[in-house]
Amino acid sequence: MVKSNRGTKLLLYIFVGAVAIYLLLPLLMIMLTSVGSGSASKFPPEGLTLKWYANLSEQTQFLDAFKNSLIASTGAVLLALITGTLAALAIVQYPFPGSGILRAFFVSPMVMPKITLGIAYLILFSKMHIAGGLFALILGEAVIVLPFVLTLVGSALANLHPAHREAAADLGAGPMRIFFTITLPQLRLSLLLSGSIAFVFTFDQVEAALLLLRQDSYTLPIQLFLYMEKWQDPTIAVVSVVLIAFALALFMTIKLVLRSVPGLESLFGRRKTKGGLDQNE
Amino acid sequence: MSRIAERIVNLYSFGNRTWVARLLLLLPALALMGIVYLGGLLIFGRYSFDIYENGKLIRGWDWGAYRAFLSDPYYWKLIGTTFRIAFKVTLWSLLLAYPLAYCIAGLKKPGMKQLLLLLTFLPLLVSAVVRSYGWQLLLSKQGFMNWLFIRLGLTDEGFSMIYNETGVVVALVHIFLPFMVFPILNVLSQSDASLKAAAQDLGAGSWRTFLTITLPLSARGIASGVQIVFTLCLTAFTTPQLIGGGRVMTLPVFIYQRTLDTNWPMAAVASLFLLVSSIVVSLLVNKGAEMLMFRRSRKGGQAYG
Repeated sequence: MVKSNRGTKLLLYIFVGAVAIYLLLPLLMIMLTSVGSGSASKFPPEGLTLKWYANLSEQTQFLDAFKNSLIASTGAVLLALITGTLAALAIVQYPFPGSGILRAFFVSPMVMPKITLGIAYLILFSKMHIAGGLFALILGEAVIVLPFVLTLVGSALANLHPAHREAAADLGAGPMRIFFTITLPQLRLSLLLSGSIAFVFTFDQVEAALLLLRQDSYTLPIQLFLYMEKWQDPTIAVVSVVLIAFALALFMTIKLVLRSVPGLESLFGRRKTKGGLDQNE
Repeated sequence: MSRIAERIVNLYSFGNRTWVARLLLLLPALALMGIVYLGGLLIFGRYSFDIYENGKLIRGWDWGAYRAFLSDPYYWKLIGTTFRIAFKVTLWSLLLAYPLAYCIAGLKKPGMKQLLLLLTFLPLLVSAVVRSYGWQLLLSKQGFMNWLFIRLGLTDEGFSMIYNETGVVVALVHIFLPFMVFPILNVLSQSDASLKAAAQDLGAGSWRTFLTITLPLSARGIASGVQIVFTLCLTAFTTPQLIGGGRVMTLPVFIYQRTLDTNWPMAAVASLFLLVSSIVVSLLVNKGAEMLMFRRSRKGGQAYG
């Protein structure tokens, strides 16, 4: 920044401010609507009220949907973490001819249109007689988030120093012991990171769940989606506010947990770690 | 029995029988991907050859759905709408994302930087359904935007911005903007600051430095941002369905509706088209970016030679 034009810089800041407002506006509008009395889509609202929040406790379908969402997302993330980490181990630590193709196959759900996957699941799980329930959704969503786990854990594995494993092997540790005492602890950060990305992703998944689920197993986005198509009352705004708060809480928790994990700073390039163990330079 | 025991013992000895270890490690992922993903897609693909007549599905091997999809002008209009929306959204997100990424990359104060990063990525944490709802509130006939426009004297009775393409584009740009900011920010913060300083020392103004140094260096990031946003837009379903209200027909919305009336052959063919076109677009953008970079590096070589 030797010579910078003041005018263009000011213009840039104004523009960025406008973009920031654009990004925040829908969320602010939802919050305003949730405390407004009267019809949801009218601005300005006629008065302020908390009755929609009180009303929420009677809308048990949203609470059930939230529980279903938690179960489905947790299940899918755990399944993807286990299968993905094991596959990454095989592909990175014991590479073989064709492992590149296999990796490409495992990552390919990323480019697959989600609506296509949703319909494919519907047909497949109907044939297997498990469509409609959460178990089918967990299987389906695990496929969708497996690519996140495979890429993040895979790159972490590739960055690990083989000397640690070799030293352990020389000292007589078997592959199992090496995995649990050497490899896994070094992977915890990427497991946490890919797990949280995958969780946020499955929690919002509409396409795969919309056609697959039956009424008693609707997840929260599906419940909201179908409610929105039928009605337009501020109850959705209240549920949305709760969801936004949940997202923020999740974000803060992840951030706190990440901060307590040593080695993260070096991963993001902020600070170098003191120990010589980390290879993320 | 002893042979199995031997196998297990061998498995535990490092370096030996890695094929067994490999297979055991791969087995869970292979089972999941093979049955759920590949199995689902194969069965789905099989349905594209069935015949759909008078609301009934007839098993068969027929190209009818493919022929109908490629010859009927209605479907070409559908494809046109889908691509037009994706193009508009990509262009607008690039126009909004670049200055934002440039600003974030240039900020020295960590507090401001963190705040802008949080603002950019916070919407990403909130469900697309919730954000679409927010835009529905903003864009509706009696909503905030029209209230603002009437106050500003731009219109007397308000624009209709919902249930049409404009609304869908505005909401989709909001949904996909972070995916454009991130790759650009990535290349901008990695690029060498000394190049910029050198250009300025040689007397280039800030605009000239930007056009000759910063912009070309960020071509990679722009290319991957365009790739991500364009393909996400082609396959976006939630927002076009909710903001479009059934009146903006894109391919994913069409596929959803065909599934509801169990016209699986047509849904399968349209999905296949969507998949192939998003792969083709990715390849084309990649190729384009590579050609641009190649031309630049050749030019550079000549200048030095």
